[in-house]
Amino acid sequence: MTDLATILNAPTSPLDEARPESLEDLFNKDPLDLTKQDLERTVSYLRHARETFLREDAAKVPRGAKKTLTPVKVALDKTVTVNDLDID
Amino acid sequence: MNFQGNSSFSDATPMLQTAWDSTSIGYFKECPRKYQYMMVLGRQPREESVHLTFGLHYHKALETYDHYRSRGMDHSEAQLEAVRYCYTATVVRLGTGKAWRPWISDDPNKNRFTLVRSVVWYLEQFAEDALKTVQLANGKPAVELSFRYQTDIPIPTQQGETFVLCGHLDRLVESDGDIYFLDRKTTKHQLNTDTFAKYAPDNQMSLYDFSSTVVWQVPVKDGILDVAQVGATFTRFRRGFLHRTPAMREEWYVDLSYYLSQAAFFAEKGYWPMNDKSCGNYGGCPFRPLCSKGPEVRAQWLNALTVAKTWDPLRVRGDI
Repeated sequence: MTDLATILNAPTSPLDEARPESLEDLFNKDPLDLTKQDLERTVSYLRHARETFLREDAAKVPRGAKKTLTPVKVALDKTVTVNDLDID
Repeated sequence: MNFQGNSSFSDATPMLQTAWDSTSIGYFKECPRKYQYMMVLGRQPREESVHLTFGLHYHKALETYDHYRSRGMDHSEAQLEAVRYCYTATVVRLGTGKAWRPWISDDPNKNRFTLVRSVVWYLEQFAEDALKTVQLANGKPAVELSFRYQTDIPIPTQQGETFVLCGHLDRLVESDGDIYFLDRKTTKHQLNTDTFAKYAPDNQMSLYDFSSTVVWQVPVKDGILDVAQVGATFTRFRRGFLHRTPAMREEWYVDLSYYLSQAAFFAEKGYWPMNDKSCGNYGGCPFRPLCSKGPEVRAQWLNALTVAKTWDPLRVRGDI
């Protein structure tokens, strides 16, 4: 599990800004020619992009709301129990 | 030979559908005329639905992951196979050679990139999910579950015969000793408490709920729905429960028996009336351009505005 401090203190990485263009060569490649390394690169880019998104999303303060970082922890905490689920 | 080669239709009464999935039930409830175009005449709008294509690929990619995981592959390797599916399934092969072109979507929220991203992010978020796949009595994992069973709803025009219900479920999962059916949805709308309120009542989820208890003969407590909000630059997820009491299940089933009787009546008459209060739903019915023509010229417009595509609930996955 990635803790909050690790996420917030992570150095800026070019991968943080993963956009469609950064994987463009893979999307332009015949899928039959994609290698395992290509797939791993895809996951790596998107994993970093997700962490950037979660960090930025958590930093957004809704109008009139008190700033909280809880959503980042919840979103990155992969070990959940049924009691943690949203019951609507 | 079944009607139009569609195995879900009766041999004895050609235009009578006897095996129903949530898609065909939904069309009929929404508008009998739409049902006629889609199911009886086997026509679909010329323009592809980006949402349908995206939803089918999203489901299939996560199903690919579940499939490999249930056979002992670790998370990372199974995730790569789901990504491989996304790349491979979203291209069109041109001829028999190496030529290909990507699936083209002009929707900034739903395209090849956002599909791969949504699948990877979902699997990151739920990598160590507390929900475990149920092992069925036959020893197989409860993933990619197709179901089909005979109901006790009589077919009015066919003595002694009853309707069949069928469909396809993603997974049965277990947590703290309780069993749930799990389904996944994508939306462009913001996720909040209203997201799950839309599924109570809901035809598809009620069919899954009802069928889970009938087919696998396990006490299914609730449904769990993982909804993904797919944006141009992000995908968010939210998980919620879908609860049906035994009385609610019974009510859905009784209501269904009335709808199916009505479907048999329309098939016998060879006429499916238009529900013109549904034309504006879900951003507008794709058959609206056809229905807006006069009935005397509509048959001539049918070929111009639609394409032939049979939807056979007994052969294809019919819901997303």
